[in-house]
Amino acid sequence: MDEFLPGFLKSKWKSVFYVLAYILLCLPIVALSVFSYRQVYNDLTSLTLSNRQSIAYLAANSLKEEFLHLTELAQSFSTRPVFQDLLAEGKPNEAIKLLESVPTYFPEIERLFVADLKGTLLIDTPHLSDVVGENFAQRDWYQGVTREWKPYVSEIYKRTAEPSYNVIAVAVPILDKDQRPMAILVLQVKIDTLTDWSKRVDVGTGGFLYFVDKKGQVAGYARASSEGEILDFSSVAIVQKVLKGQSGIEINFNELDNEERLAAYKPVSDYGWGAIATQPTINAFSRRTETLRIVIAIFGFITFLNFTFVWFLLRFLRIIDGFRERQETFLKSIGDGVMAIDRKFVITLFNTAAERLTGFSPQEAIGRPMRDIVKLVNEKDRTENITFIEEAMLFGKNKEMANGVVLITKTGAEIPVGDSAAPVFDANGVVSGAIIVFRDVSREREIRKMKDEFVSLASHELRTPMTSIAGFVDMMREGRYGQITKEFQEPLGYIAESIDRLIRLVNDLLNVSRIEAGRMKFNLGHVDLGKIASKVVTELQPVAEQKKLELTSKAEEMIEVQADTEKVEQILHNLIGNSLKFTDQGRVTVIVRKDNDFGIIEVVDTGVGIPEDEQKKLFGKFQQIDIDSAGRPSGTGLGLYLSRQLSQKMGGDVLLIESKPDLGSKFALRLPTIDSATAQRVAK
Amino acid sequence: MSASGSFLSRGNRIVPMYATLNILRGGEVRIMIKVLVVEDDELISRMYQKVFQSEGYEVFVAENGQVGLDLARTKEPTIILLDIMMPKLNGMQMLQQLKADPKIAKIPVVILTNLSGTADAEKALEFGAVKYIIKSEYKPKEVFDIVKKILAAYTRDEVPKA
Repeated sequence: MDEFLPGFLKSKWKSVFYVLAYILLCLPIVALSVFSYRQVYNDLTSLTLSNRQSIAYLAANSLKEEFLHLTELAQSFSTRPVFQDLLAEGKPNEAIKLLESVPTYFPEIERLFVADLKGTLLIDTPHLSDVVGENFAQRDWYQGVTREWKPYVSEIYKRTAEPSYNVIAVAVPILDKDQRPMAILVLQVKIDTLTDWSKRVDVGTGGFLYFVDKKGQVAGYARASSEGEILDFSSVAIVQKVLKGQSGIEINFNELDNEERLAAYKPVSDYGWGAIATQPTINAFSRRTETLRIVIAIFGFITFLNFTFVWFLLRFLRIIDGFRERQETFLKSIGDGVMAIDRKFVITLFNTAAERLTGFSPQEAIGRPMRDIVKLVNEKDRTENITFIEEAMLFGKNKEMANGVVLITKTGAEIPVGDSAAPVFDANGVVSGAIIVFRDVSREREIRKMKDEFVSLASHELRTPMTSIAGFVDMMREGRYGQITKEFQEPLGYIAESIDRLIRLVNDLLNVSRIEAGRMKFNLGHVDLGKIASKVVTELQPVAEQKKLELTSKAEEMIEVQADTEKVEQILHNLIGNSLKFTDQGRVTVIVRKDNDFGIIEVVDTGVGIPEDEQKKLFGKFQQIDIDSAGRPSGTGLGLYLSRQLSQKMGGDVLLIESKPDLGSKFALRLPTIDSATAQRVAK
Repeated sequence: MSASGSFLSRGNRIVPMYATLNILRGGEVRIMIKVLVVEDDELISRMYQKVFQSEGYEVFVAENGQVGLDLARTKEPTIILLDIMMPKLNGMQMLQQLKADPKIAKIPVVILTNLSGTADAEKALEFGAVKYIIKSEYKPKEVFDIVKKILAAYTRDEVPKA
């Protein structure tokens, strides 16, 4: 029944389908998460980088401003007319006195001195011994300032005078009245001062800032103090870059600290210096890391929910699908044709066996009116017979298909079919359609025919010897073979009775077999209940007389029922016969009356009665109930069963109305009156 | 049985024979009534033979349909008691052949069988049997009574309903 399933649900593709569905349903969220993560990551990275860059810019600018400030200070000192005059008069000792208070007012300036044009130190303040008269023409500040006679900020160097600090020098020319250089004023600044300046810039957690001079020597950093050796970073890549005038930002691995550092660098324009701000990557990106952690948490949670939801959804679908698949398999495996229809008789389900029987495929059948596909007709008159389906839907009960129904297949062939229809209820308990089960009963019919033939033959073969036994015994008792003595009459009577019982048993068995096979023929006609009751009563009168019982019948009015006369007689014989058999004194009364659409014959006796717990066994097959039966002729145990079956086939019933031990029993046969609804239904 | 046949016959009808019989009933001339029992079971046929003989009838016995037909033609029985289940030619076949032969078609046939199917009974009556009796349900004497009743009806020139 693969055609029942959409193609994508066929089992070999099913796993692939579910995996793909899972991926497809989860992918958007995963993609969104990745995209968002990258977006946030990039934004925060560039924010961090530009932030670091700004720090380097700020540091470079502030250093430049300090240098400018120092230069301006130096120029303002050197251009003081008094100072110029004193120098021009060759009184440097007096001139320097004018500048004695400068280091006090400007603590960044550690020392000032004046050198002549050849670089020989003339005088300094505060005065340090042993350097006056020494030539410093090889110093960077000398070479820088004498190049164009313009103010110059020197590289870092270790000064000669003790204490020999690491310093920088700001050198400006001192001009005479004709604007010609006559001496050089030098302001010495300890590099610790640069460290103070760098501290003004906030470089963030774990970060530090340093400056490099044109040679790549370091200042502005705690480890590069005024004392000790000068740190030389000229071999460091970013130092080389910044000295080439480049600015930028990069990540370096610092082996000393064993950590990754983010370094931003910026040249200090006009002075050939550079500013470098570094910070451990871990700290620089701490905000980024923190934010990303939140992003990951949020999106991770969303993704997890999505995965879980999709997982359960697909699992649920798969369970439903599996359930459906199992149902389909069950349906497919059923050997009988199974078909479902809705209230309008349109086919909604059609299994493989139904296809095999009708010749129509499920695709052809589903959605089509049932009458076009499954044609069920009476074998005899070719009229449609779907009464059982209509009744199932109308009454909401399972209904059996009638006997003798054939199915006309797609090719026009005819198959005898049987089985039933069951109503389908919707959630509100209203009939919404029906399930029809049908199967080929040709074989069953054949078997039933064989069984009937067998029973018929067997009963014939049994009856033949019994007939001759009964016949000969009877003739012996009649004296056709000579006078029989009294002593022989008795046993011959017993033989006759036993044979009689045997014959009745065979006859009853045959009738049971026939009625159960539905082969019992009923010649329905009008039966006058009063007449038939009095006829049977008359026939049984000798039996009653023998037992000294009063047997009477009375009819309240003339009641005509629809029945088979012979069968009614048979039933009455059984009922009245039973009463006579189980009554030892008193009377058996047969009453004919009417109850709505039924004619009723009641048989009331004053017999032994039936105990309550035996009553339910009464109508069973081969039931000889356990009551005092001593001295009574034995029955076959089929009488009441047959009577009930016969009456029911005629639309009536045989009932035990009431029974009390030692008081008697009341049985009733009821049959539908002519033209009553029941009678009309049975006649059909 | 031609028109110029025995005084007991007139044309193809056997009715006059019974009329004569009726006249003679109280009289001094006794005409033997001939019963043909067609039955394969020897005991049963012997049983019916006994009862009919003891009632003063002449009885012929045939053990199958074929013999039955021959005896019907040669012995001209008054009535035939016919079983159905028999070897060679069964009762139904014999009944059909009997009814097809104008010489013997008028002999009344009573089916005596132990087959109790309604269909069998209907078929037999359709083929022209006058009565369908289930052997096991009647004592030999009762069968004799039925046969006597049928013959009496024939005597009154009536064909009894089965």
